[in-house]
Amino acid sequence: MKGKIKKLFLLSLLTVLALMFIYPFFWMIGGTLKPEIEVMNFSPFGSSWSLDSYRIMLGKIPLFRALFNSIIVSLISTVSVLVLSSMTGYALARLRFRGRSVIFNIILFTMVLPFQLTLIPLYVLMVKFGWVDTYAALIVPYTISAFAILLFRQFFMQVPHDLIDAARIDGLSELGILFRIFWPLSKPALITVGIIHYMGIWNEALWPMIVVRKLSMMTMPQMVALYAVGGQAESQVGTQLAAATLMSLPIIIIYLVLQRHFIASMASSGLKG
Amino acid sequence: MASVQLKNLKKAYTKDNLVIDDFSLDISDGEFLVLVGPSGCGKSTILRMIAGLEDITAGEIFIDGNLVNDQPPKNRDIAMVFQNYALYPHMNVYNNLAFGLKLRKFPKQEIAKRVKLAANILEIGRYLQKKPKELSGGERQRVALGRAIVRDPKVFLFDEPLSNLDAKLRVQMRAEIKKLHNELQTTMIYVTHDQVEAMTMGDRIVILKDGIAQQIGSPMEVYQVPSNRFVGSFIGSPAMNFIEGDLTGNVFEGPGVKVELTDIEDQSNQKRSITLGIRPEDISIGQGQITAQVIVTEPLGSETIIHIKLADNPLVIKYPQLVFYKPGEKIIINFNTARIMLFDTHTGKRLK
Repeated sequence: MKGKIKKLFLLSLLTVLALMFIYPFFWMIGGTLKPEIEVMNFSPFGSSWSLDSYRIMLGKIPLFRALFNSIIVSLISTVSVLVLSSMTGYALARLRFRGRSVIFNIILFTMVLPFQLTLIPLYVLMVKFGWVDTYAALIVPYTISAFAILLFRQFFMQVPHDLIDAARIDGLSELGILFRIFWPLSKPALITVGIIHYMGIWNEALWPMIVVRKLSMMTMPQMVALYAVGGQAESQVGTQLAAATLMSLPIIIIYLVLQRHFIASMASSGLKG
Repeated sequence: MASVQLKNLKKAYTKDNLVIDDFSLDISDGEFLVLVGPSGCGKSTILRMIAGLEDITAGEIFIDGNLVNDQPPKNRDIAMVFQNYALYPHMNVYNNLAFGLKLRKFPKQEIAKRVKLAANILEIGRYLQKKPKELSGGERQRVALGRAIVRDPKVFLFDEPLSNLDAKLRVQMRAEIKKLHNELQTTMIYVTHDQVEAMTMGDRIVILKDGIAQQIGSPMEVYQVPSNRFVGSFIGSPAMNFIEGDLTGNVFEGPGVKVELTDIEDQSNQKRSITLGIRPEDISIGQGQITAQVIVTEPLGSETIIHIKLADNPLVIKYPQLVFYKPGEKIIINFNTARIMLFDTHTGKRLK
């Protein structure tokens, strides 16, 4: 009996916490559908429903172009991080060469540095390369990730060495071993890195704001941020929420589709979210 | 099929850490050679150097008369079977067997033919669509053998392939590998730390210690005429008994034992420090002048292992019948003097 009460109490508490967490999302979506005058009400439900907020917002900013840019940038960057970081992780885990631990320590050290610290030098580099207002500026700084290298290295170190020897005797090159033996065995690590990186890039607003000024090159978060605080929304909260909803929708869909893999990957990669 | 020549092989991981020192060996075409020795003696290192998985510090390796020092493993035409099977977990058995052939761009039909043949030899046909994790240890090792067979290599290399199997399966697989060698007649180099495997499988055995070959010979040669105390103690189960003492003329005297040796030519009567070696089966019970105390009796069904104490020196007797002695019981034993071996106490070298 005592146990049942405890369980009931815990479940109630968790339900309240879950509602507290999920409510702002509902409120945001509700706000996009309500009449403008009711947007600031506590309830997510309005007296009538319409898609006017979306219509107004899409009439003012090229959001679909921004969506396209975000997809291109996030996709190329994620594929590149998976390929390049796993290559680096493989070399650090499995190849013997002089300076290996020094390189690894330098890579680890870069994780300690906040991105804001490298912002200015990186921007100067982008200007010197003539990459401002190009995809290169949005993608190249995110083509490799220290976190991904670390994760791949740890994962690859667990693969038995005999397997690599067998693959070498079978005739695989080092790249062949990585992509034909290690990749299929490292699905949890690939999915974890892929999702975390994709979400990170998708939500990144600061860097695009620095290197992109052209409207046609802007990504979703940048566009939404500019729209919401930059005056174009003309203080219409409903349209601001509509922009934010469209920005978060693709990533929520991706997360829901891959949720099962993501949780399994987190658990098996020993990574805490 | 091919011969393998190793000439003055050296391997050092660091300047002061010489793992293999000046190792030379000729392995004939179709021979089954076993490298045996305790952990860390360098046997696996030699095998890996032959495979090309380990760089060599100095020396030359010839396979089928060709110098292969700078050849990568895939170009040496060898196949290797590993202790941990090393099967690709994400591929089914068929693809595990076919993978090496696919990489060598064999036609599909030829691959299917070879896989079928290997599967028939090893009786793994019904597992072809299964993943390695669905197989038992013995089945996995068969698949690993199959992967080597389909390649039809010049040389097979085995790196302790049976160490992960249970005792019964090990005996069975031992016989199967030997049978396979008889069928294929391909050169096989087999590394093990198990002297029973070495004795039962090898045409020739190389006994290694600290990267140096202690003796190279047929199983019977190394058993009956060990070149030093290490070989004597390593080969044979239970291990050879050793008693340290002095030899004066042809009389050996050690703690609790005095034996007159028959075929000693030294008549100088000079006292020398000698270690006497005698195999457990060369000690008889019930007659003679040596009294020993029983520590424990181990009945094995067809024979009995008796651990005794001879003036605090522990010895083991292998008696060909089932007997039982109580711990502490006194027994009379005798050494078969014709089978006694003498070793230099300081160098360990065999003198007789």
